[in-house]
Amino acid sequence: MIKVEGIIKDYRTERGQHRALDGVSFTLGRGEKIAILGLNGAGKSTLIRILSGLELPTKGTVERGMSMSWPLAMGGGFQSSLTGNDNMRFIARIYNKPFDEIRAYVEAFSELGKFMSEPIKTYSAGMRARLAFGLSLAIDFDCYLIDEIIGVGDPRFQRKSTEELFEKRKDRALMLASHSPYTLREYCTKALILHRGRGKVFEDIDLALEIYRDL
Amino acid sequence: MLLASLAIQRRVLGALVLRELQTRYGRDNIGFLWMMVEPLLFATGVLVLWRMLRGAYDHNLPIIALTLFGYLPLLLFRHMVSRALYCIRPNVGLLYHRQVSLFDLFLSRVVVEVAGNILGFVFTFTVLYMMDLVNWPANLPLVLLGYFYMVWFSFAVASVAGALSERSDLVEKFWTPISYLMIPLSGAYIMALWVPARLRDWYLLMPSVHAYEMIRGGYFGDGVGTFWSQPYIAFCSAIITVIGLYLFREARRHLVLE
Repeated sequence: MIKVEGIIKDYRTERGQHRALDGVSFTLGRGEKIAILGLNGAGKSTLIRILSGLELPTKGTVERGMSMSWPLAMGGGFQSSLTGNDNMRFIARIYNKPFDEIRAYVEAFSELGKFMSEPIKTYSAGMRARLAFGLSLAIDFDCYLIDEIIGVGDPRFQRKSTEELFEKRKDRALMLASHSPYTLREYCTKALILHRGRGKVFEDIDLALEIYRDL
Repeated sequence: MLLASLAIQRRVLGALVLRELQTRYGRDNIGFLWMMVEPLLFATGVLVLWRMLRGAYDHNLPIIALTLFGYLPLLLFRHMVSRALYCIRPNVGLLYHRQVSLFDLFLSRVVVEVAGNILGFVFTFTVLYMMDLVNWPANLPLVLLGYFYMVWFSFAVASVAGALSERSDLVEKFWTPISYLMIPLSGAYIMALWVPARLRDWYLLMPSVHAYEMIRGGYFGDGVGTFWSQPYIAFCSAIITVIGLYLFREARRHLVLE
């Protein structure tokens, strides 16, 4: 169970303080899949980053009762001057997983072939997404934090990730930020709407999507 | 619990050090050897030049040993601090993994510097010893103790500079002149004995002078007058270390992620 309580996040800006999140609370049980909805700048990515521990909240607590992936987002997670292989080796080491198993899985999932020995900075967004996703699936977390990344791949990647994450790993929790109502309705059972720093949980995803459309 | 987190810490640090070696020296083994050869090349150049310019003895002490024991610890100090500057920014992507802390990023960089310096030291000394250019130290434990304090002092200064450099670019601007001023002020090439008595107390305010005096005292033995206080350098290094650790703990709050 993940328990998020009273998260407040302030950022310093040129014109004083900006409160990005203003007391967001919710819980996420094992196997639960929650959509995060909100307009651009509503704090979706910020919330995911706080949950993962990448950023610290100004106030509030996060209780992590299960293992959680790093934020699977467009950037981050890799050292871009190193090759895909070296990054994979590094990540296998810090998560204490046997390298050979990780490599076998990632190679099959990501289909990057010879690009695995090229520096990450030469990768396209889709290639990065495939590598990040493959790695996090290979490491096998209880909860996946996904920030938009699922929408960037081609249909083949989408199909594979659906199969791996939603069919083979049904029992994993998921937090998914996306603008695509189709994706969210397909995979999530409840939703958190972020608006003007506040967060509200809806157990009915269709209702949440309707409200989101009218924001 | 403590053991488990120590194990994670060790694993993360190990992975970061390997990654550091990869980014700095590439994949081939010659890269790692380079860590040993680099100080020898520098030292040889300095030794040859100095010897040509100033003769074989300085104040009746063998110049090769003096330069070697002055140069390598200075290199250690300067490399550790300059590698610590902006040690976080290029690695922000790695912070996505919760077990990687800012301090780990700093630590992995300076650990590589210390290892390289020790390897270079041992290698260079061995070569010069076999060529009969340096003697075996009169008091090896004292040399090692002095070197240890040099590592600690450099580590402390590097941690403060590293943590602050992520907050303000001024640190890097100041570091350039300071690193040059350290050549005469660190104690690397000037023995406290040579400093006029009325200035000596000022000279000895610089903690690294004490480390250098210990190293020289250990190498040359009791025949040469040295000035050092172990409590003084230990106290200074401890205080600076505490400040550095505190700044790293705070750094995460000031870190702006893209």
